[in-house]
Amino acid sequence: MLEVESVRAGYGQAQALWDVSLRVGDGEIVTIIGPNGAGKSTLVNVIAGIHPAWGGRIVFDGREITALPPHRVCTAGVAVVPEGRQVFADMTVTDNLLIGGYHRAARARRKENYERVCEIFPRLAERANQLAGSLSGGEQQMLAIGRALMAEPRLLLLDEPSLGLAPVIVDTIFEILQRINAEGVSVLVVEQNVVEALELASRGYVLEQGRIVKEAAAADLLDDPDVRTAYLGV
Amino acid sequence: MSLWTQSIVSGLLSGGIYAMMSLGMSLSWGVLKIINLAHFSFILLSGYFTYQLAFSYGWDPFAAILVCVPVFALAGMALQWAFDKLRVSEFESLLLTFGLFIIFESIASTVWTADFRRMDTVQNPYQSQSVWLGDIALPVPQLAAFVVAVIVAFGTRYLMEKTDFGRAVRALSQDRDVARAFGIDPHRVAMRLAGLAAAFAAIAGVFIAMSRALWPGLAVEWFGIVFSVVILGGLGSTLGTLIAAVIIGFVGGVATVVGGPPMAPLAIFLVLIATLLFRPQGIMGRSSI
Repeated sequence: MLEVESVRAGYGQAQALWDVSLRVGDGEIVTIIGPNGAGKSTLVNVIAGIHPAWGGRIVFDGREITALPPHRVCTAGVAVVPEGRQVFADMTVTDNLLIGGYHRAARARRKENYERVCEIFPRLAERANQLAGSLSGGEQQMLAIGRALMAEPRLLLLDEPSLGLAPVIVDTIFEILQRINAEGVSVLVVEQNVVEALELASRGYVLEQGRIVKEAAAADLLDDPDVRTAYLGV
Repeated sequence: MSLWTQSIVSGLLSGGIYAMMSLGMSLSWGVLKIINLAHFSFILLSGYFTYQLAFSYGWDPFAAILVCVPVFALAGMALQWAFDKLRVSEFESLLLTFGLFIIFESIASTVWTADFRRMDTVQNPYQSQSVWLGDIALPVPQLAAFVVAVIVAFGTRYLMEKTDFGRAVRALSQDRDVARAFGIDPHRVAMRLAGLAAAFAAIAGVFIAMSRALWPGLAVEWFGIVFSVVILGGLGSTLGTLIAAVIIGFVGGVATVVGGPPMAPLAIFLVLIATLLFRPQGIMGRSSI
């Protein structure tokens, strides 16, 4: 479904990604783990078209999306849940969700999608007319995911969804991701919360200093001695 | 006493034209970050178009709106397209559109000369018509401009608050990258918004032509009023612009009674200076600007 081939990217003179290749299969949950500054967010932004790639190819559903602007990547079926949520703070919850379903293909079924998101996240329905900036961190994360779902993605890209959230809320969010995946949406989640991410995903990649250093089934990565010492402190 | 009331009422009414001139400028500066001096040229040229349509073809000045709005909306969109291509910054836009303003002014003096141009009472019967409220006269062009400005201001507010277009505009101004990631094309939105702003300029021009004589240097006189209204109202706020336009009109009207017509600009600029000193974000603006 998503194939990233030898992607390079960076900022000005500073290269952040070196020949990154990865794959997300149909209906799969894949995670990318790695320390702060490894280039995880850059990778998400490059796939979403927000940040330009210097080289390499990104193919989604057999169609090259490497140089597409973000609004075209979105229409192609990729939705982002950005790092730090980045909800539109001065807009209401409803307006945030409606923006999620802005693009033409999703707009036709916006009402149904809205009801579906409200059913998945009843908290959002309760707070429909509040400004997004007044929500708690967990609620903002739900809103960011709900907003992405409104775009009817076939691939959901999440950048550190657990960042700054209480463990119990992280559990809720990851359960919801599982449920969304069960309904047919592929998921690529970038995480520092290694254990949770590897328990959620079927496969994982380790990204260090802009390079993929390991790829394995999630269960194997959890048992991997390098991963255990580096990320779990065991 | 009647002179007082009359002056204040006509001051308030001229707020309608001020609002019509300023609404597009406020959108352009507040949302598109383009300080568009060509906006004044659009108002002036639309005025001349109205005059010419009446003079050459006997068009009713109100009918000129049907021509001027689409013509200038397209011009505004074309200009925004160029600004996007050139990646013009806020400050560069001021310099660039100042050049355009000079060019348009020269075009106006070439085509219509430096003479005063005014529709006669046959071409424009409205300029001598008034609606009477007791012994207070409400001139039809100013009254119509006021009504239209109120409709346009509330219409724009509705557009911004309740429609997909408005949500897209707000999303873009809050977080451009995330908005783009949800299918919003910033260039398209900016072009539409610029078209809307220019359409407002076109409407303002029609009302200007209906209520006074035109000459190419006229547009310079609007700078002070329009920038005062835009800043007092708060950048990008349609309702704020409307209220500010009425306040500026009122202040100008009172100053005219107290000290004669030359006092009006002085009073208006004092309001502008006070705004910048004490409430730089304007009456309805966000404090972050």
